[in-house]
Amino acid sequence: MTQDLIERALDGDESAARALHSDHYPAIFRLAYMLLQNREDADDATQDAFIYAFSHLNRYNPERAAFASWLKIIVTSRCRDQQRRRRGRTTSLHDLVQSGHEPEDEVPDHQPSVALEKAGLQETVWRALAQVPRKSRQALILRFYGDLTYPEMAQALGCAVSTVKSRVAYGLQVLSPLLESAKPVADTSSADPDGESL
Amino acid sequence: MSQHPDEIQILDYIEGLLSRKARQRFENHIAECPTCRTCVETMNRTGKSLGNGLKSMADEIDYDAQQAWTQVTRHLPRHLPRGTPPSPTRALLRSLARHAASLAIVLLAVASLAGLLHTLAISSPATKETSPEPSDTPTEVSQSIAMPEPLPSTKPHEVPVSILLLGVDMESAASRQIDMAMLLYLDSEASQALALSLPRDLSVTLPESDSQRLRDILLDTPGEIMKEDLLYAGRAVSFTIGIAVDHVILIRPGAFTASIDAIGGVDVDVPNDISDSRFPNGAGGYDRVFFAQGLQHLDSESALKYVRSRVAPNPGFDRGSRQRQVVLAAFERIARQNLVPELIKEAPALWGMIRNDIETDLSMSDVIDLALNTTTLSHYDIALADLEDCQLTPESAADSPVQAAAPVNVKELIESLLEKME
Repeated sequence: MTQDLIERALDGDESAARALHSDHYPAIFRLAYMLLQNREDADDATQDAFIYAFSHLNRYNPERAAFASWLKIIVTSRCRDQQRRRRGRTTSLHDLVQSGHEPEDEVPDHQPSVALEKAGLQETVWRALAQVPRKSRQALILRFYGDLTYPEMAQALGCAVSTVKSRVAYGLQVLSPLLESAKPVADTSSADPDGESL
Repeated sequence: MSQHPDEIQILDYIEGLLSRKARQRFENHIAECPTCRTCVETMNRTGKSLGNGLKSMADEIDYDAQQAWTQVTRHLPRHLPRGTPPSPTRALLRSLARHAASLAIVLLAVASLAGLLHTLAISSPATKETSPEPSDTPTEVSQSIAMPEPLPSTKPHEVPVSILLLGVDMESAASRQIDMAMLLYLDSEASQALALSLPRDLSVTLPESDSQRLRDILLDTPGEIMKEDLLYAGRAVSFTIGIAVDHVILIRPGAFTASIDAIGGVDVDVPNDISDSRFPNGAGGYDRVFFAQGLQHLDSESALKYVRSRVAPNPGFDRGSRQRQVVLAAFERIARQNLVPELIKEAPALWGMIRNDIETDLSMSDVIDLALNTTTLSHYDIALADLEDCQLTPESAADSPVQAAAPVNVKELIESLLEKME
């Protein structure tokens, strides 16, 4: 089905391109938001990713990755670009969790803090993730939300598969005691180890 | 499995990435080890909780796909680019994929060129005086093309891949003292690569053995250098600097002239005149060597002198930097001047000339993949770095083994270099 849409899009069928976009936009945007913690940046990264993907649709090879994975790899790369650009004006995940809301320039209704207000697993997970080093957090999100394979994650993050595995394993080690003990609200007194967002 | 598994092995187990045999060993171990069993259960539980939490969280994030589509369409061409036929080079490569020997030579020629240039650049004065011996004639060797021992692939081809390139010294073909070590990190998907020079005096170690200098790591193994010896060296380097080594290529000096002649020499931009009146001539005396400032075409003999001369007209233009310059020039020539088809055509003869000068654990399929992938890189995609320059602890004495920086620092170095290229 996806491949059929791709072929039609390449043949100039705009409705097929639009269908591809609407099928994959939610997951791609949400992944970007998870990684960046900022709606505006996530919008930009997602837009850049789709523009790139459609402009290079002829290069997509279904034998190498699922279309959704290909898009996730692209958007992760764009998110890393965004992170480099916005360093110095970020709000850490820790601060986000502590304050319960995002910076003033964010749209209040469109943010993870909506979830944060709900006690339980979501809040526990976010509080715990705030204490994981940034690169491990990225890897954990790509693996456990993005469902990327390790080679795909390595490609998305620009590092070796073994490095990605180390980051995931380390992240899980850090998270384990936090998730096991936090019921349901974790201590948020410790600072974000990187002092920056995902 | 007598030892406790590490966290990566536990992760591999949970993710179903262990081979059947390794999985069986792992399960035998955790059946008898409550500590490891608890670790597995905890990590598994944490992963599931995290996944559930993240997915539940994501569902709360709303979006406006309609608005987003409007924005995207403003930037798209009226017609999306249709599939373009592959470049003639790539098409030829694919059509020749079954000729493993021919394709293998493309990669190995590039590797040998890079590695041997580095070898020459850092070889000791005593060994520098020996020039590579002339190779066999193409006609004699083209009748029987022998590749390195075909080995089953040790792991599925992964991107990116890291290859430890080892150059043995110039004394003789039988020598096994390592004179250069370089870690090649190739990520064809991201179109980037890194060549990280490692000092030959790097102190390397493995959990089961004492530390030793990298240059001596093959000295203790009697007889021919075997695949196991190469993998041992790879493991030692990997353990020491904390970077995975997927494959190892060992290069002897004889491949140098053949490789550089095969690509018709290299073009380098010489930033300053180089005048060396004490260049060892191999007969106990000295020759005068001069390179004029400006763009120069160097044949194999000149390139050899260019990277071996110890004269540094100014700081930052020593032989190490010239070596890197020539490596890039060689790569550029191969990749940009469409030399791959020509190299393939001449591969049997070239391979015959250097076949005894290269050892590797690479399987044929690995070599084919790498040959195809590396030819898509340009020199802009390759970062060059020297571990000795920026990441090592100070030496306590002139002849002390060089201690590697903490593995995490090496990883950070590599990642920062690659990030700078994006």
